Parts: sequence; C-alpha cells; structure tokens
Amino acid sequence: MFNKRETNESESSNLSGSDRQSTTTHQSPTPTRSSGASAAATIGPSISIDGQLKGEEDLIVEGRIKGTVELKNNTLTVGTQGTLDAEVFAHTILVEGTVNGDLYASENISIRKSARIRGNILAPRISLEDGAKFRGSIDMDADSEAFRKAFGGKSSAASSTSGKPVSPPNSTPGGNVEKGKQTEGSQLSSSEGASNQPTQQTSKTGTSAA
Amino acid sequence: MSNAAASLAGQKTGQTAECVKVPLLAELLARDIRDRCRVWADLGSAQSGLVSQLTGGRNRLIVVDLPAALEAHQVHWHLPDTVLDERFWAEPVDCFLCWDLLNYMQPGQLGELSRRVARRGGNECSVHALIQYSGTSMSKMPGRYGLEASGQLRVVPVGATSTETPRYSPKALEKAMPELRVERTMLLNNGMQEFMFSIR
Repeated sequence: MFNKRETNESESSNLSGSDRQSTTTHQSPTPTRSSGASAAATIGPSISIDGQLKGEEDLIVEGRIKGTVELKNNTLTVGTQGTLDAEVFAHTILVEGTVNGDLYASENISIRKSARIRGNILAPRISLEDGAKFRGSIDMDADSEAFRKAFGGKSSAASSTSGKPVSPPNSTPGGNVEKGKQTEGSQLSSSEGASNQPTQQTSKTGTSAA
Repeated sequence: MSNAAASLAGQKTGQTAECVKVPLLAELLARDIRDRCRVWADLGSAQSGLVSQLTGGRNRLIVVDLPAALEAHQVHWHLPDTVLDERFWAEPVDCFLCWDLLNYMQPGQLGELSRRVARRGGNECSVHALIQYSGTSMSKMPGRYGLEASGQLRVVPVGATSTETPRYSPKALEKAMPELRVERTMLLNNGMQEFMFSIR
C-alpha cells in the first residue's frame, strides 16, 4: 500500500516488505502543507488504486487513482507521472500530471504547465501556468451551490479562521484507504508484481527518499 | 506568458509576439455584476492571464480549447458544446471569448457556431472576437493569447506556415451568423479588428 517515510525511524521500520517495495517518499517539488516535520506520503508510479481514498496527511500521487480522494485538511499533489480518474476534495491541490474528474479545494488549486486536466475545478483561489492543457470549467465563486455542497457552505479563504474546510462530501460506495491502510472494497494493484525485488521497485518508481 | 517565452515562440514561428490594447475586452472584463456569478466561455486555450483576472470575483470560466480540437482534426472542432459535453453548460453563458478563431471558420461553420452560441448564451450575452482586418495572411493555426496585467493582450502566432485571411467584414459576419448582431467594433494597431456581438 502506500505509506510515508518520516524522519522517525521506528515508524519507518513498521512497514511490511511489500510496503517497502511500493512506497517511496520524496520532497514535494513545491511547498506542501505538511504537518510537523514529516514529508508527504507518496503513491508511487507502479501503484493503482480503485476506490475511495481518505487521509489526514499530505499526499503525492505518482501512480493511478480511480474513484474518490478526500484529504479535507491537507494538500494533494498530482505529480507529473500521476493519473487521476477521480473526484478530489482537499484543502489544497497541486496538479502536474493528468486528471479526469472534478477537483474541489477549500483553499487553493495550482495547475502547472505539465498538467492535463479535463473536468470541473472549484476553489476560491486558482492559479494556472501557461502551457497547461485544460478543458472544463473553473468555478471561482465561493458562494456557489457546488462549493456549499462540497464544503458545507464555507471556504477556508472566505469564512474560516482555521484555514480548513468544514466538512467532507458524502462518502461514495467503495472501500476506504486511510492512513496507509487499505480496507475492504478498494482495490490496489501494482504493475510490478509481488515478486520484484525492492531495489527494482525503488529504481522504477524513480523517486528518492526524503 | 512571459516576454522570454513569447519571444522564443516567435523565433520558432518566424513571427513575433506582440502586445495590443483591446478596449472592448477591457470593458467586458471591467463590467461589474454584483448580484450573481458571471459565466465566461473561453473558446480558446487555457491561459494564466484570464484566470488571474477572474480569480477573486464571482466568476465561472468554461475553457473549451477549440484550437486543440482543430489540431486533433475533430470534425466538429468549431462547436463548443460538441467538444465539451452537456454537464459543462448547465448555466447560461454571459460572455463568449472567441479570440481569433472565427478567422479559421468557413461561413457555414460560423452559422453553426452562432446557433450554438445563441442556444447557450443568457440574456445580454456578449461575444468577443478578433478578426483579421488589414493583413492578407495569418498563421495556419489559431494564435495563443494571454492577458497581461497591464490589460493588454499578448498575441503569439503559432505555426510556421501561413494561410490567407478571410478578412470578414461586419456585414459578412452578420450574414454568416444570423443569430448575432455586431454591437461595436474597434480597429487595433496589429491589423486586427475587435468585435463585440450580442445575441439577437
């Protein structure tokens, strides 16, 4: 599954063998809203998730996710190799890869020039770099019905002093992936297969430790 | 787009980027509607300048990216609601931004576009376009446009080859697009004419 490697070695040592193979952690290319000194968790390029993913920490996606992603108080980064066919709800979203689906952020969405997006984007603050491929709609109205539906009527930018959205959207059917744990109903696959050696995995993910 | 990037693009195409004042577009952007969200439909490609201008206000921007559809040789590349499916058009559009795309459409395509625009546009919908006026040739693909912080429009030609300009007159455009009426026009210093249409 995915997990994070922190400076805390004891936590890192709790990873299973398969976790070690498929998990990579690297510094985000841009500042993320990390809690404390920990780096963001990363879903490596060989990982594919089908279902609902929830979390309370920052996440970098270099693999594929199909379904729903909820990181209501945190930052989601879709890396250059990442592909989402998903509806995303997060505090802050940074897109460098490919997204087919709607993106909802209570604070900010940044779209880099390498991004390929088709869908609706909704956030109080949105930035887009020239060269990004985007087709869909960008909703900047924090009073819109869609925004109220997604974040319970408040945006962190507009009405909250805590800088956090009020509530997540209703859950969709499917499993949960929370804090690095997969639960029933979500599907996780790795294109590398279970027999691959950790060193091969690490090299294929192309990421480095924090 | 930065000056350096624009200059590089110009070197590649053999044509240079330029900045022009677009008074009618500036008026459109400055128009204040306080009581509701404004819906914009940008028929061109996504650009940072427009997003920056609209961020902070009550705006919804639909980006259709017809140039990408043209580049992909889609048969109905000129029809926004074919390129983007129904769910994106739930609300009536207040402003259509066509940039230089009308120059790349035949009269029949302009007619089809105007019918779609009239169908998707709301009350007092405005349609903005840039038409080749004095030049006899233009790049074979639609240009890239970027709103500068100064309010000027940066125009970056795309593609090394050029083609003949249709040089549509206001009357020719109204004839080809019977659902639209020319409200105002303005000659620009780059040889283009700025048009503001309304829906009849």
